[in-house]
Amino acid sequence: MNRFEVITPADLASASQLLAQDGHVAFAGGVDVIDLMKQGIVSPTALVNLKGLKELGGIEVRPSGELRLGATAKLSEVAEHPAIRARFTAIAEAASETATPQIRNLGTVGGNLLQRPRCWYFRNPDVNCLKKSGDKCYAFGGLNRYHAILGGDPAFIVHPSNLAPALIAMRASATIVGPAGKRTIELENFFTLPTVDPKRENSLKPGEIITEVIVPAPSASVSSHYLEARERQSFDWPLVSVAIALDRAPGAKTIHDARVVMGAVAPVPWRSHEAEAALKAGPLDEPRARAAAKAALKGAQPMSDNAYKVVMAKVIVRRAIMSAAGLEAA
Amino acid sequence: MPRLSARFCALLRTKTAYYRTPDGERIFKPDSSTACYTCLKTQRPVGPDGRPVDAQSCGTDRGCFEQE
Amino acid sequence: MSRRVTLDLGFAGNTRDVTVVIPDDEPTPWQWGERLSVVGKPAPRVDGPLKATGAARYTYDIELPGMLYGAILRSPWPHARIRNIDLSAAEHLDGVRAVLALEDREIRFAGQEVAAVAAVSSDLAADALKLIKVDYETMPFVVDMDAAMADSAPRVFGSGSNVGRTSTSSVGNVARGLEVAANTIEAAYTTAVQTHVCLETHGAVASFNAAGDQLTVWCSTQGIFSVRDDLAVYFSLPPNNVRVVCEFLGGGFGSKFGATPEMIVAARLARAAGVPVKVMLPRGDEHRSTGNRPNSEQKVRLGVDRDGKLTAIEVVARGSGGINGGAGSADPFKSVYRCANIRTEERNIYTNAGPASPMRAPGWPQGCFALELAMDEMARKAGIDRLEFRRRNSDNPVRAAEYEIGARAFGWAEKNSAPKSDGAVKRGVGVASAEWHAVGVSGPEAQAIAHRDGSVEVRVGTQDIGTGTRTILAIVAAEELGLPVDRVKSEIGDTRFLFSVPSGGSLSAPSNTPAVRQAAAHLKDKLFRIAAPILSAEPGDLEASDGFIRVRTNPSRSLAFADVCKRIPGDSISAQGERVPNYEGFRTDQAGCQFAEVEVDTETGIVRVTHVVAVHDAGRIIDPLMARSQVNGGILMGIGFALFEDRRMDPQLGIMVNPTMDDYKLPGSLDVPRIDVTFFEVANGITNTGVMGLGEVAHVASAAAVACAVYDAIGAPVRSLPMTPDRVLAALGHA
Repeated sequence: MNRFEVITPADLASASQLLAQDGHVAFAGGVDVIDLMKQGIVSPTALVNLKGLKELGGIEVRPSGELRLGATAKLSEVAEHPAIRARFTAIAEAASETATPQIRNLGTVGGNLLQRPRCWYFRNPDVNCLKKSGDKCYAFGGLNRYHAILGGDPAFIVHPSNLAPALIAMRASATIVGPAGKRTIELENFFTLPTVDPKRENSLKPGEIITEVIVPAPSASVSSHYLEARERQSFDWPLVSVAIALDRAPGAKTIHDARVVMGAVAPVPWRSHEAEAALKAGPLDEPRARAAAKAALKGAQPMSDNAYKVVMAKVIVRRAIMSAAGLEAA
Repeated sequence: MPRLSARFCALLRTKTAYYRTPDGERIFKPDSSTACYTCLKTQRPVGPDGRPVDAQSCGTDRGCFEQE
Repeated sequence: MSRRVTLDLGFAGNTRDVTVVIPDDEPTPWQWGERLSVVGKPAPRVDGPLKATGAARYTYDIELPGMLYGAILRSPWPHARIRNIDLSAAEHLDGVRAVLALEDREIRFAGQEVAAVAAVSSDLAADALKLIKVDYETMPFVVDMDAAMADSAPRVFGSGSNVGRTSTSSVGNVARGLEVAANTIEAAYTTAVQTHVCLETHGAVASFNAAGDQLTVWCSTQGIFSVRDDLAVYFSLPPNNVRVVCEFLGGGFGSKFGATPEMIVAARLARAAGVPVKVMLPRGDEHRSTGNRPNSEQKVRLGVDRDGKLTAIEVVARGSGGINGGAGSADPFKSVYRCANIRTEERNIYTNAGPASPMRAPGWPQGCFALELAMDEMARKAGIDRLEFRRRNSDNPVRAAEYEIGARAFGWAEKNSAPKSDGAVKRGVGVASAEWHAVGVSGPEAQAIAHRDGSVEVRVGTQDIGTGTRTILAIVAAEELGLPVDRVKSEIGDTRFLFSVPSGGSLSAPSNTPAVRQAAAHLKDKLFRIAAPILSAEPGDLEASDGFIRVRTNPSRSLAFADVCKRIPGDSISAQGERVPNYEGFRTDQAGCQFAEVEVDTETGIVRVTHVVAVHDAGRIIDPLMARSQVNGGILMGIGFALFEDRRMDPQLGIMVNPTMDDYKLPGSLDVPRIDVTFFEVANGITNTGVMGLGEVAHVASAAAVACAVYDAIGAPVRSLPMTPDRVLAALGHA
């Protein structure tokens, strides 16, 4: 690891100024950034400690029913929050499925969204791939069992966040403060494909800080569910994950609105409009859930080792839809 | 069958050779299909002459052989 | 000088008299039904609190005044010639005290040592590594076993073939056995390279005296005396000028015999710098360079007659130990099941990958997996119950008894006939047989010391690979001296103590406990000589029990053990014991069997192990708690081998892509099933304690049982380990 200093800014504006400088990297839980530094993947000259900034802290359900997650709120707090569990179920489930209790006690909402991919070529200091300064994605033509089946080209990583699919399914947006002031962006539009820039996974600019994530109040008829499949039951990354939000009027057979967002299948959290359309096309039952799952994977382009993820993703999407709808799986 | 350790290079190492027979001989099992070897000089399963080391080939005919 | 004794040996319902000749000063071996006071009773790990509180000193924890931190530069290339190594920039970095070139010729795997530095901090050492300029001439390489066998493949060793020697064995006539068979099967099975993943990585702290003729090394090792002897040869020192210390060891599994590269690097750096140097490997280096269990491909043919008796067993196997040999896996085929016609063929293939090293029952988990899954495929084809098929083809009475105990504990009859669920998640059960021969060796010597305060110490130059060595040595001495276990302290892990053998091959307990028992018996004799005049008895008429020394024929005439110790003329009185060669005994093999239950999600391919029942014999069990802990570990390692672990080599780059705890997957807490362990006691009389080792026998059948259970659950064999979801789905025809 290189030598670096830790700077604790007095306020958000100074934090933003610091982070606009070369070699300055944000630090809160430190779970991912320290790991990247140990591997020599990033070598910041300074870590800007965001932990004390009060604008970034806290979890709050506002009187309007809107949920505010401070960027430095811990995953364990999100997982255990009674109101989140009750009304924003997929979000609490996604947080609780993440890593281990120790990591959930350290890891933050902002860090979870901004963590870098787990690709074993990207994380290997001896491999200079397209996501660093190289010109090749070694996963294509290499060992790619955990890599992208959708939207991969030209860098076939998968986005590792558990929280992101759940937040996008619940229509969350991020509040971002930076040198140009404050902006709000729907989380769905925050993440960027490698076609935009293979070196990055999102549109955060130098000096910008995610301060909070806002999840609008869901109507009482919304139900949500997050589900993932892992090889190991302990401390493992999802092979595929999905967050489902369904809005179905009481007594109605048909969904009038749905969101289907998959994780670990593409370089960004992958919202499937095709699956959503399929879900809304008629009364919700097992065959419809199956059709929606099939639609979600319609454009999948597996590589040499990861065709199984297509099969698995269809199953996980179908099961998550059935669970979110409160239907018994066949 | 275990053989007298004097036939093997003094620098040849393998798990069984860290044990001795009741007569004090290092135990080598040249016919074992699971024995792994290293050369103490190179620390690797390669002799100073660049060839693999094992109980069948680390004999007096190799230039790097050392008598125990 | 010796006496002839007839021993009652064996197991419940199957004992016989065996006459052995034993030295006069050797305690009579414990026999069947022997009433013992502390041996066999569960006793907690004596050093458990030290480990749990972090007070136990591992090599990582050693800090010496003026100590430097060493680091090793490794080749990123799988095959290269080194044209030049320029150390000058590293040498000139402030705080760097020694720099060494380690390899100046040819690199044969990515991760091979190239150079090393010692600096005043580990960060500086890492900085210095970056300043070393190595001019590599890269060469063609091959990391895939199949690719390495092609005529056109790059050669790992110059002009030598990548295909190593063939080992073959044959009894009877397999062709004939297959001809007469009523049913045959033929299938190929593969297993992946598994790394040891010692929780404590390899490493050492080395310190030379000012004159450079005395070397002290604290290291993470399975064999302090092996390290001592290797270092003595390497540095041309008399063995007595080298002292090796390993108080606590964070796992070895076969990868820590003798002086390993990083120990020698630490000592060379220490000599060059003139101060102590610590080298502990980072996790990635541990995965890539310190050894592994080779992969395997095993083509199996079995034949069975109408009575369900095997008529032929054949395996043609190959595996790659990287740049090492030792990839055989056929041993289980030769001996676990009885058959008149058995043929095995094993070949080692060299590849540009990290060298294999011994790993927990070398060859056996691979071979057992292939053999046992093939047995299940055969049983299904022949329409025989799988357990019955094994019973019919095993002639070992110990295993026969263990099958029944295990089947009852597991509920085999009900579970094996339970209808499969209609849902996506299917349950399945499997059974697999174990075998080992951990009788131990002669060589170790032990010292037992009684102090004036009535406490006892046992000193042996062994080490605790994690099995609870201190605890079982204390129990054995306590038994012999008639004391509670907490009155005896075990001192191990230092070559200043009397010699012992490495902790490998499941040899520690069977090799060390008899020496300790003899030492304790000799100490007892000395204490009897002190006590005898006071009790107006002959020493030979006394016995030690419950903390007292008594007249055997008149137990009311007694002295407290501690009161006898008060008569010691100095501060202590000591005695030695030696481990004598093995007696003929009852039988020298171990059986064992494991039953596994799994749940397979047939839509996602994800497997979970839900229950394992293990039945093992290891002669006399000294401490059921320690023993159970070893079996738990063996099973968990087997679950890792069955479901998760795979050293993955990228064919384009020639590197291991998953040298991390993140991507190289070990079972975690939620992957641990319910485990029930039963020990089947056998009085074997091979030594005075009759102890046999457990480390390996507890591991060999675990992955096989899980694989058989998966086959039962889904009705299709998954013939490759690890059984990752993609392979399970493929077996189900889903992908």
